[in-house]
Order: sequence, then structure tokens, then C-alpha cells
Amino acid sequence: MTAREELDQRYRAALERFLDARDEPALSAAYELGRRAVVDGLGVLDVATTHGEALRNLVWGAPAHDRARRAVDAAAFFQELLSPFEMTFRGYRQANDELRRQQVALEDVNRELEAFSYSVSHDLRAPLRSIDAFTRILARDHAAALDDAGRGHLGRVRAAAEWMARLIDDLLGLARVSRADLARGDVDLSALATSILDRLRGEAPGRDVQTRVEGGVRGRGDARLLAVVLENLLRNAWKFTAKRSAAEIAFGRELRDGEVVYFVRDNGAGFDMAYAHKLFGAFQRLHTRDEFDGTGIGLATVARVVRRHDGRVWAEAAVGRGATFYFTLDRAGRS
Amino acid sequence: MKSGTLDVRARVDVRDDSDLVVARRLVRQLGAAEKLSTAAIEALATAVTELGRNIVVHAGSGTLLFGTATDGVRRGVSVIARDAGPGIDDVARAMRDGYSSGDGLGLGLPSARRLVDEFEIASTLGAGTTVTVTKWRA
Repeated sequence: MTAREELDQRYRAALERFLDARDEPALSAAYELGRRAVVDGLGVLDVATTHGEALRNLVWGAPAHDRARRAVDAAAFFQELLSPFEMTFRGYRQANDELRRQQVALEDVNRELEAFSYSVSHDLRAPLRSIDAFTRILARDHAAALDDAGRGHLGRVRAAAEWMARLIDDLLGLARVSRADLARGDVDLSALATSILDRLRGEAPGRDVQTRVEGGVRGRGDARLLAVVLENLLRNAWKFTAKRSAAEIAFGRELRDGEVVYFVRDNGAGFDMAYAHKLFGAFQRLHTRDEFDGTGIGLATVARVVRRHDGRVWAEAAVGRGATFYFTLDRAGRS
Repeated sequence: MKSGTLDVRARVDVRDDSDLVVARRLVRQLGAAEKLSTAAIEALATAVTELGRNIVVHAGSGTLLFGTATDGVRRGVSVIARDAGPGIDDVARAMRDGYSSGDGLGLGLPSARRLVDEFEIASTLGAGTTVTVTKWRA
């Protein structure tokens, strides 16, 4: 018997008892039935239908002189059944108000944090420029005054400063994609991917990479931000195939459960899926910098842009067998 | 009630659901005698049911006291639910918890609070819980 059928049966029996006895135990039964219906996940319309069915038999089927009295009592009985619904309704409304308040507070805090990280990154640049300038002068004009160990240390200071400058640039990039207003339009993703790959090829003329870009792939979104996504994903693919003799990179789209899914696939180093959850966090890296260079902010930036487009991003990979990064552009995939 | 007086008129020892029936009848009679509205009586009866259930489920047994209340300006009906059960570790959390744990439906103590005008709870771990609710005549 379903919860609904059980309610029908018990409700009718309880109402019948109440119409005869009009006492508190029968009324308590209505309350218990209502409470049970709430717990069983039945709705107000379910119990209203149940009540209507019971009325037909117990009120309209009763002798004419008794109908009015029965109708009034049945209403009191039904009211009792509805009390638990009223109670949870009040609770949900209160909980909902509370959630809304918390969400607003959370958004405020997030905005503050973003503004904070932006200004911190920004303010770090000035002292860094000093370090860069003065160590450059030191290396150029005073190298002779230092011994080999001193020059070695100076080289490290300069390398560290350069690294810090990259981190700051990437962090500012991350902050910018969070703050930029979205200008949604029709974007030719195939053309974007082709021009990015051409650029990468120009930066590394020595490398032999087979690239395949599916033609006519378009998406709805902010052209500038989607370029950031493709740039990061393709640059990653380019980087992680560096140790392959026959490197392959592909961009295209496929349908998954009726949803348009874009992908960037490579046959590079791949990664262990056990760490897939770490991929999109800022500063998370699955390889050492000796293996593959990078700040660990690129995929965090990708994830943020995709999220701002109400899309999802994920990856599938195997160690030594390449990686495929997927993303969608809005929840329903109507991009 | 922060201040005011309470005149106890009846008492029900609660052990199982059948005692709740007695309690509900009592609170309806008292509500009617104090000229509370039908909706107020219904809300109070519902709150009493949840307080009583709470005693049965969490403490096993306890007492419900019924009385008339006044804060000097308004008159109404108060119910005190008292048990010597395990007590509540974190009252504030228990009052929120209808949504974060349990049946997740907002029944129980938090729901009783939403149905009445005044709600006070005092609990000591290992010593029990006392809840006082009041519904004023509109």
C-alpha cells in the first residue's frame, strides 16, 4: 500500500470515528495522520483530495438532517490534519529567510575577499619592481664586487622575484575574471582555438604537435573570458605534451545526455584521477615545477570563468595517457 | 514570560501518546475559558502536542502544567513542559536543528516555538528540560 492509499484508509476511519464521537482522541488521530503525511512527503493537495473523498462518503452520504453538522465537524477535523503542514510551512519560511540573509552576507564577504586579494596583489607589485630593478643594477654594475657564491645568490633572488611577478600577474588575472562584467554574445570558439594554437606554435617553432580543431564550434558567452579559458586549456595541453614525440591536441564539442560539452584533449602526461578534485583550486599543482612549469592558477581561472557562465568544468585523465578537459556554458547546455 | 504571573490550573503526567490526548483536551478547555481565538487554541494545542511528544520521545516521561498567565497587560494561557530526561547539550542548536538533523522537517521543539507568543527553554545536561510557552488573547 502506498503512503497515499494508507492515508485514505486511515483518514476515512478516523473521520468517521470523529463524526460519531466528536472527541479529543479522534481529533488527535487527525493530527497524527497529518504529521505522518508530512513525514511521508505527502503534500497539502494530497490530503485535500483525501479529505474530499472522505466527505463524499461520510457527509454527503449521510441522512439529510445530519449533513450540516457533519460538514462543520469535518472541517474542524481537516483543520487539525492541516496543523502539522502549517507548522512545517512556517518553519520553511523562517529557514528560507535565514538562508537568504546568509547568502547575502556570504556574497558580501566574497566580494570583500576578492577586492582584498586584488589590492594585495596589486600593491605587491611596487616593492617587487624595486627588487627587480635594484637586483638588475646589482647584477649589471656590481657583479665584479661579488664572488661566485654571491653572484649565485643574486641569480636566485632575481629568479624568485620573476616567479613572484608571474604569480601576481596570474592572481590579478584570476581576480579580473571574477570582477569583469559578462558581455554575452555568440563566440566562434573554433576560430579562437585555431588562433591560440597558431600563437603557441609560433612560440615554440621546434615542436611538432598535431592539432585538430573541429570547425564551426560556437558558444554563447563573453568572448574575452572564453578566450582566457581556451588559452589556459590549450596552453596546458601544449605544456603537458612537451615530452611526447608525437604530440596531439584536439578541440571540439560533443553531445552528452543532450547537453553540448566542449573539450580540449591531449595525449600528454595526464594525471592521477585520485587528485582530480584538486585540479581547479588556486595554487594546486599535480606536477613539480621541475617537471612542468606553472603557477597553479590557470585552471582556477578557467573554473571561475566557466562558473560565471553557469557552466561546469571537469577533467578525465590517466597518468601517461593524456587528459581531456570538458566544460559547458550554461546549465541547460543551450549555448 | 520575562515577568508576569502564572496561575497553574491543571497537570498531566505524560508517559505515552494517550496522555497527549488528555493534554490537548485540557488546553482547549482552558483556551476556550480564557476566550482565546479558535486559531490560537488550535496553535496552542499543536504546540502542546509537540512538547508532549518531545517528552515521550526524548525523556520517556514528564509533566505538563497548564495555567492562566498575565504580564500585567495581557491575559493568556501558559503551558509548562517539564522532564527529568537527558537534557539538551546545546539549546540554541537544538532549536535550529529541525532543519540540519533529525527528520529535517522542522517539527518538534522549533516548530512549537513558532506557534506561540512566548517561548522559554531551560535545560541542564543530565537533569532535564523545562519549556514554558504562552499564547496571549489577541
